[in-house]
Amino acid sequence: MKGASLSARGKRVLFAAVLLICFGIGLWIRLDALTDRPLHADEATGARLLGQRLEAGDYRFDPTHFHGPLLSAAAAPIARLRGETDWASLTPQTLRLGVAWLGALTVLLACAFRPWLGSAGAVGAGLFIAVSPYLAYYSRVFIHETLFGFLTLATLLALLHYARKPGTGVAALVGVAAGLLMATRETFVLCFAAWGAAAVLIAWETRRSGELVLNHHVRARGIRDAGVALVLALATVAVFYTNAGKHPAGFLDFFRTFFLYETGEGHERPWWHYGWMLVWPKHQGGMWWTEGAVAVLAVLGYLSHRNGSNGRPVRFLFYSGLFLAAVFSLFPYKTPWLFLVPWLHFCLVAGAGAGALLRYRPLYPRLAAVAAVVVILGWHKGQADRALHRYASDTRNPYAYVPTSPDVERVAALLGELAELFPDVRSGPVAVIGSGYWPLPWYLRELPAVGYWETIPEEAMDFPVLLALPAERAAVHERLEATHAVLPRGLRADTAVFVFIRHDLWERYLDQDDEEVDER
Amino acid sequence: MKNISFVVLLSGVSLALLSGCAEPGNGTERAEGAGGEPEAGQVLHQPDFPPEQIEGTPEEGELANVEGVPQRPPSLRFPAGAEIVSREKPVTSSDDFPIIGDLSYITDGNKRAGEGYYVELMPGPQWVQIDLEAEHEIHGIWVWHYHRQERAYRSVVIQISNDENFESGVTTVFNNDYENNLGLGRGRDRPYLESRYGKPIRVDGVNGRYVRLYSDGNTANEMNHYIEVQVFGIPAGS
Repeated sequence: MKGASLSARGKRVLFAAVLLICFGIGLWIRLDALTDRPLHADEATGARLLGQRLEAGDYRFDPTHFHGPLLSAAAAPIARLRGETDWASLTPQTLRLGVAWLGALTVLLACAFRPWLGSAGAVGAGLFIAVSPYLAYYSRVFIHETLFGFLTLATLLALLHYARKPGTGVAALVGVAAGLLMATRETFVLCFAAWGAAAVLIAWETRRSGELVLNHHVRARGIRDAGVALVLALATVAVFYTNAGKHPAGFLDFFRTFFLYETGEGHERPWWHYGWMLVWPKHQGGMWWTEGAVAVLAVLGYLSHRNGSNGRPVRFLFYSGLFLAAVFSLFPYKTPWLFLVPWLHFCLVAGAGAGALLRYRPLYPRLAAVAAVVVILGWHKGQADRALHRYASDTRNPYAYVPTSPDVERVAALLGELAELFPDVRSGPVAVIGSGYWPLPWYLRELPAVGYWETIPEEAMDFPVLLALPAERAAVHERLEATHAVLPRGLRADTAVFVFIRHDLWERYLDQDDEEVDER
Repeated sequence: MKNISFVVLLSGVSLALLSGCAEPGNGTERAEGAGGEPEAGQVLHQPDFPPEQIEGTPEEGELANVEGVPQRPPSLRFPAGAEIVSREKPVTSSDDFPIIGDLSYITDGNKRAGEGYYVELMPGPQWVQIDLEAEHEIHGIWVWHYHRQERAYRSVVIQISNDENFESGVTTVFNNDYENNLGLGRGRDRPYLESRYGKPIRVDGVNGRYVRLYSDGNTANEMNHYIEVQVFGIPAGS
């Protein structure tokens, strides 16, 4: 008996050790050279909102844009702890640190699905998430999705715990997790709808087999538990959307956002876009990109759990993932990060699939299965290395969307150098002409006088430096051809920005170290 | 009940911490308008500049050359007898193991832009060098870096020499490295956008066996690319 007890304890210790290794891998991938990639336009706008929150000590929810308040609310304490208290002092490290940790903690959450996926399945799911180039890439971007994914799994975990062992305490946890999810972004309704649809499907399957029996606790106190969860969820929503009660209208705006929210144009894609991005093999940038093995293993995970009550949670996850995938694929508006939540569902089920493979009795097939899973993980890690580093801002990376060109950092350095050399540039204005200029405001925030015009203003000929977006380039060039030199530079990987520098300043800049000037 | 109390207490503490109940810190004071103090008799004028507007995710740009490129094929005039002298000549590089492609693409005569036609070198300052295998009087160089996208290559410097190591007798025939990133001197040639027409560079009969082309990434990413380089000249002494 003592031996058996030790063996069980040994298994727990082994699982904990493996879990820590999974977490360590996930964290290492996410933190490595975290700030090498220039700030994405959406990160810069998120930083602007965070800067406003830090500077004003206040937050007002805008029901038409920018998603929920939790991202900036969670980032604010990190910024303050690091001594960054305004827009000017914020650093990329501060913005991305919390998101990267949440991405790694999502690996731990996946491992916590062990009661439903099995030990091997939970570890497999954790590893698929840890090394996924797609998930790792967006764990290093200061946008809402990784936080949203983390809270999705947290809510799911609490729900599954409640389904397994109902109790009012667990219901309260469900409520708080769901409330935080609702405070992150408005697409939470799709998660709730997907889980509801999957639950109905499972109930229908179970009823057909005559196994549907509600737990005694649920029958007796289910309504009260639901009430506790709902109250806590709404209380959490109220705290964040009203900024701790300072703006009561924020609570109403939380509901209004579903009727008012405006998505941008130009992001329409065909229904198969996400399948192409994640599953379809693509040869780009000298390598093959695909995470199709996760999809294959997810199908295997579903098939290996298609019967019996023990397979219900896996089927629930699979159906939820399918529902979410269908909805996000049918919406014409598509950005790569929107698919993160369905993909997390599939990673969990893929873990179950890998676990099923590893349960093969004959030794050689089992060894082959282990080898296959190791090769898949290695391949995904190789893709992650390319996606996160060499091709982090490259359009050949299928996960990079309108990535910022590393050249923008040099543009900022050039303007800083010009401002140091010439008082005219210091007093400005440095004019940005056109729209779609983010993340330029982030990189120009050190300059004392920057103005943003949609079209070239009358007085532009006197401006020392102008930056024209491509749509305005011709108009600016026509007006300033005689007075300014033009330099093409990079803003985003597919968008140039044209720097116009007044001729007198440009000549003095080139002449500043004549001894070094080319002898030609 | 204990469970609920604990969860509620924990949630309250977490929410208070996260929702920014803490007072904002004292922001670092920044000087407003760094135009310097006005001199006697002057008034410092600082107009209001339009602030930035927070925008949504930008649209993907056009992956085509639509602006800033020649509308007609450019041409170069050479003395009679000048012809392409770089075709199939050996190419070396500061990056011995290109990320994509092969250095031989640079002199194979193919100017297409897709994968399989360009060579990609490591990020940062890199060079490629064509060995003409004999001294030539060079009258022109035509360069295609990459033209699937509207982009400009940074710090483009082209030199000619008879010294394989470019330590002596070096003539610079093009230099738009206005920031002097390469340390070869600040160049006054204009940066340019890539196009399918390439960049023709007229050379005034410079003698040399080796042609070296530098670059330091481009406006889209930090990589260096070459599709084709053509050197036009006459064998020296002929």
